[in-house]
Amino acid sequence: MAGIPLSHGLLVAVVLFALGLVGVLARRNLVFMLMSIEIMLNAAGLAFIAGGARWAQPDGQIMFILVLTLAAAEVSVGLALILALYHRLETLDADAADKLKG
Amino acid sequence: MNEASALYPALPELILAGGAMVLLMIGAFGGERATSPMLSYAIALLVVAGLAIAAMPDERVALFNGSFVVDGFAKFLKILAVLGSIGTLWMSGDFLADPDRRKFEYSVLILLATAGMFVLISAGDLIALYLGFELMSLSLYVVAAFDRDNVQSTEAGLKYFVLGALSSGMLLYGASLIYGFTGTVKFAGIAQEAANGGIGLIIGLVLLFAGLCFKVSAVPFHMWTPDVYQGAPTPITAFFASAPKVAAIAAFVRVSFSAFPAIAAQWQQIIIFVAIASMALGAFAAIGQRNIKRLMAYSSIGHMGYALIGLAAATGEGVQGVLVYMAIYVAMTLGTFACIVSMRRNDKPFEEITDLSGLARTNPAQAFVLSMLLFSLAGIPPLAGFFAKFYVFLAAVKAGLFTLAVLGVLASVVGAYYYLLIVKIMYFDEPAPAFDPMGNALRSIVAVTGLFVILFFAYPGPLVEAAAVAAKSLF
Repeated sequence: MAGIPLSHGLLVAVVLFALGLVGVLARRNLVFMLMSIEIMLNAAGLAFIAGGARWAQPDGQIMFILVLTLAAAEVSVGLALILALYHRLETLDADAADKLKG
Repeated sequence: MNEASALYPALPELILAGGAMVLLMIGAFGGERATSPMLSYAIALLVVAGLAIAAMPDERVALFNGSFVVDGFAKFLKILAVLGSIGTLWMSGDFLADPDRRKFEYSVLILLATAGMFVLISAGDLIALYLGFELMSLSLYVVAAFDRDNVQSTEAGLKYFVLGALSSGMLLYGASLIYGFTGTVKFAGIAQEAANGGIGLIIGLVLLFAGLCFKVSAVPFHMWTPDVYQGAPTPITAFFASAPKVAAIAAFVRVSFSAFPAIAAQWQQIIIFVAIASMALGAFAAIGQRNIKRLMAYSSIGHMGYALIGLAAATGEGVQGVLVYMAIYVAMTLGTFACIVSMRRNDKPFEEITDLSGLARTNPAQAFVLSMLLFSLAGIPPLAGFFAKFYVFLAAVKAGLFTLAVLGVLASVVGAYYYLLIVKIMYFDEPAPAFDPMGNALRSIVAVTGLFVILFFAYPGPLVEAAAVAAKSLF
């Protein structure tokens, strides 16, 4: 079977991962930061699937399903925390959370 | 062997996970009234789980096709983690007694976090590693923001979440690269393939270590530590400083030795850098701090640096040193934080170092034990903290890492300055108003950890022997 080579899958994954990483570091809106984190997790999931295809094993896809469920749990915790902060500060700007420093 | 008894090695995890579900139901039907009995039930569950761990055999048993490993190493660290969790719940009574914070979820979250740590400590492949890591982290994000009417606590929780999610993304991406280049998620399988993994595998390893460094708050992934320690309610800070650090160090050691022994020379470089940077930052950045919880944050960054020296040695003795270090570190941290929790006047917490001034005159007993704990954190003989450092430095010297050991000694000399400064404030400054009397729970923690720290030198055998047995199971 002429599949897609591993390097192509990993290339897409690294681009996605970099996009997510830059998004978390550069964006100041908490919801966008959460979305960027999701992109990073999905990049890892894609890399797992590419690896699974390369080695012709189900492990990569099993890992992807696990990542999918854990990412959903992570988002729900994250949204709850963002909501809690929004109730206190009335803003989604990450820089408004600056009470702790030293 | 039938199906049910085959699960016996996972009994402690099952007790905690099942117990957490039952407690959740009790809380859901009992409401606020259930909060304080639930705290006792949770402590009882942790004690039962601890006994179940202690009853396990020392031989290596692998469950679920090698995903879940129970051996002497896991046993030792799980008992440490469970002691950290019990200590935290034990000192949380007054914190939860406040009508605004009478939330039963607290005990459930601590139980789930502990179950996550157990999975992380026992992980035998990348899937279990990630599962344990996330179960622990998700519970910790929520407890950090537990005091949700307090904007500092919410901010601490959110900062911890954003940076924590970033680090778990890195860990996962690293895991995916390791899988892509070796074709297996099992540590044993990776160990066979690691030698010909090439540069892709090394990148994966670095990213995986980055995720773990975040959890042990090692430099350069320490940025969250001071903010989260300061913002989270104090008993929860004590939790962050003790049990999760044990679990993350356990994962660090296990991944290094059971998955990547073939490229030890490469990861040794990383660990040496991280250890030196953590020790230096812990020693210098703590000097200017005024808030005692922030100071303890930098102190814990430094201590993780010392513990990683043992890992950098990459020998059985080094692992033994790490285990002894973590055991003593947990005791010192719980004792010190029990003293910080007791810094209350008229039921309001005080966190500035100057609030401790003249404690020797208002409460001589507490001042004495706290100064012993601080001397021990500084590593002054003959207290326990000295032996902790002694074993890791010894392992580093035997492995030929002289520079690392010398830098470690220098960092601990610099670090001693700010611990001694607190002792000076307690003994020689004008007394501040007295604190509220300590509760029995806090008093018992301070007494037990204080005795341990002072008397360890007389009877170090059992702990050191147990650590040696535990370390052997990795080699």
